[in-house]
Amino acid sequence: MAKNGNISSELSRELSLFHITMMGIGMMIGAGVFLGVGNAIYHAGPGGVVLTFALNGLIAVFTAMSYAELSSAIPRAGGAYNFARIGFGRSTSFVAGWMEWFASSVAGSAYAITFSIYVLRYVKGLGLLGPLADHLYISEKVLAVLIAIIFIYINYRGASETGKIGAIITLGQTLFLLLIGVVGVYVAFKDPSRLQNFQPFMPKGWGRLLVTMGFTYVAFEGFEVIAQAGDEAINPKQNLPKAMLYSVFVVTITYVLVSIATVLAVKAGSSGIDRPVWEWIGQHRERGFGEAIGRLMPYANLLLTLAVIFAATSALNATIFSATRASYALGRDHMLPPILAKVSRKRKTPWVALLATGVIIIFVVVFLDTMDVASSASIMFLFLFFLVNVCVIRIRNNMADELEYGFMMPFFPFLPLIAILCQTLLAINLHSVSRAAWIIGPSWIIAGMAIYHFYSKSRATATEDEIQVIEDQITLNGEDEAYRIMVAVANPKNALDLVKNTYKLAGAKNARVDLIHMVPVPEQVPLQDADRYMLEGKEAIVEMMLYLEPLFPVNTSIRYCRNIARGIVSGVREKKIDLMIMGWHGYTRKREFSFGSTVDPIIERSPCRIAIFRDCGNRKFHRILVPIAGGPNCGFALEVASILIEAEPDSEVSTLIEILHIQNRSVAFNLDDFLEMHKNRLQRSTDFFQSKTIVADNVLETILRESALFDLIVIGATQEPFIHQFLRPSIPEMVAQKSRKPVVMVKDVLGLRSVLKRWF
Amino acid sequence: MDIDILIGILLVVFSLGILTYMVLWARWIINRIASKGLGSARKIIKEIRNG
Repeated sequence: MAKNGNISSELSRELSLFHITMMGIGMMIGAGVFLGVGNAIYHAGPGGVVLTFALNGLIAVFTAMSYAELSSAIPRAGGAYNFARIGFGRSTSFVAGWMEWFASSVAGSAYAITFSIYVLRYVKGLGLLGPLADHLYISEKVLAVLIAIIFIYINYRGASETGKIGAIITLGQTLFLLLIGVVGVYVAFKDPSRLQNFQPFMPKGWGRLLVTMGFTYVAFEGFEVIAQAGDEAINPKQNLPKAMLYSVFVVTITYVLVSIATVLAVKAGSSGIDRPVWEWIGQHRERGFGEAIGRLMPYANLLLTLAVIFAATSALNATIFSATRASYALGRDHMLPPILAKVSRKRKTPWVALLATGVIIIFVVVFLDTMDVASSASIMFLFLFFLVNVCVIRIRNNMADELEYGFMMPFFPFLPLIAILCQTLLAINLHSVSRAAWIIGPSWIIAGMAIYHFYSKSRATATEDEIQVIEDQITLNGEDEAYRIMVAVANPKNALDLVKNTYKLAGAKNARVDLIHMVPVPEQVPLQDADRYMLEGKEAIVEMMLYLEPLFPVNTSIRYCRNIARGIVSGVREKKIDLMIMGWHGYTRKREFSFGSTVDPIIERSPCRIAIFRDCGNRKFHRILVPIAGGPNCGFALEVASILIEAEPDSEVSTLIEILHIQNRSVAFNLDDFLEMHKNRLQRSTDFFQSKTIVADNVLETILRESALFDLIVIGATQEPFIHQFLRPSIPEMVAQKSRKPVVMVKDVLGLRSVLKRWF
Repeated sequence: MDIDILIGILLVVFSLGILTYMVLWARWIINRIASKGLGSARKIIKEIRNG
């Protein structure tokens, strides 16, 4: 596809569901299980290790659901960096990319260490280590650095692992681990006395479980690499979410079986076992898994070493590739010095980003203890997944109507919130096992924020998805603490009528008014070239300004955006609006919306009061009907009615607000109390109000019939989420659609919910 | 049986049970979205709620 005279390229889609599932599993079975099992037994005992992996699998599937939903809607390479950019903008996407770079690099260090530990253990077992056996710790470090350098060089040569070959290697190592699990269970059937190895089940108490879950969480970090395959996967909307969930399922079952097998592998009282089995495995810490499995079956040591070599090296290669890609993207987008995006002419690889990644990997290998490396990798992935879980809430709340999903999680937003809570708990508990992780992780993030603030903010390349403010004219300086009303101007033909009604509300509230016109720009047109779409909106804005300017402080703004609803909600948040006013033509073309694809999202997401005017024109209202059922918007409906009513003392026309309550079997409401409370609050005389209660089953018909004698209906919106209305339209929305009289539908701010909407 | 072991077994069964259910459910809804040609968030949520 040609764009601006340049030819854009895209990757061929060759990776099937099997391949991307195996890529995810390959990333997960890299180090966590080999390093984690022995350490988990040391900290939490024989029962704790099984619970560690089972519960971690459960937490991981919640985050997998978030990744799956986002990847199905935004199936592009970029992973968390991309989700954060779309959900929160440049600053958060920088932090995501910055964390991803470090998390993948530290995970790479963990894989290099795993490789060296298991290879040297096997060589030592063969008696070939010689004098180096006395300096095992240093030898492990040296070998880990060497293997890291080799794979950095391999990445420089551009020989990255392809999904297809990697899939076969991963399948082999997964089958081997499953074999270990099956043999472990078989051994228990053959010799039930080994089940005594699970006594005591939690020797150090249940509190240690959170610690072991924290440092083994790195064994569940494969979603990111699956998300990165968005451009190369066949049918990504279906296959990416499936691959993420299948990979978590497979590794969790594998890890649980392997943990059980590790505990059962050693027979109590056999040669060399001078203490309870869990203590004996635990004393070997990260080597404990190998020591135990070596006793399970013939050739176990050789097979295990081969499995580790394949697992650790393929994962090391993939993490170096992933970390390099993250730092390269930051350099390319000018968020870090562009030298990071420098590509070797000969090899076509980003050699500076690769070198920087290599420095981090080697530094971590040399200076950190194994537990600190695993914990640092875990903590960074916990932070990254935390961010992705926040992104899924933000994107579903703000952009769901603009995206085409292949999967959506159930129980939203509870699953991502549970995941956030659990991940926070795990991260906090990592403190007790690795203080270094808690120093390194947050320090890296704080350093990133400082770099963004002082360096990247002014240099970063603007992204296409952002809303662009074209004209923001402040005509008068109103007081900041003034009540702020925003009027969304869409159609120049009825803009003046809308503003005349705004005039009444603004007068009553002593408000300053913000006029906003959103210019929707098609995806194919860059926002910067969208001038041609602006003319109509500018006419409407000028007309409204002429009317309002002599009376109130008025700000005007015209903004280009990809989606009107998102642009308006962003304006509401940015300008801290108290009341949003919109017009509505009275029908919707799409069945799934109550008011239309623009108005519905604004009502759902705006963290402010809302008033929607239908067919109000430039009329005077002397008799207003306010149907109420006792919901939280009733008070605001009455307030708006008392502002809009035109009191003309000398006229023969009587003014009246009738508060109508339809009593049916399900609702009990004390109308007199309500009226008394609001009369005082609104400082209106009793002559204005009249209350009426009708007993009827059909609420909608009764309201429509009663409205015949009135000029206007003011009604509070339902508090049910719009999706409920999609299933069964609510009474206020039905009144707004079916009434032949003008209607104003209002929605009040709702405490905590509105506060959360300002953030999400 | 030791109460710790009992709680432990229940927790493992619960975790793996929920995990399995969620993966199977996700597979079902992904296939359903694809076969019915759904894409809009509101239509998918309606489908989820209708079960």
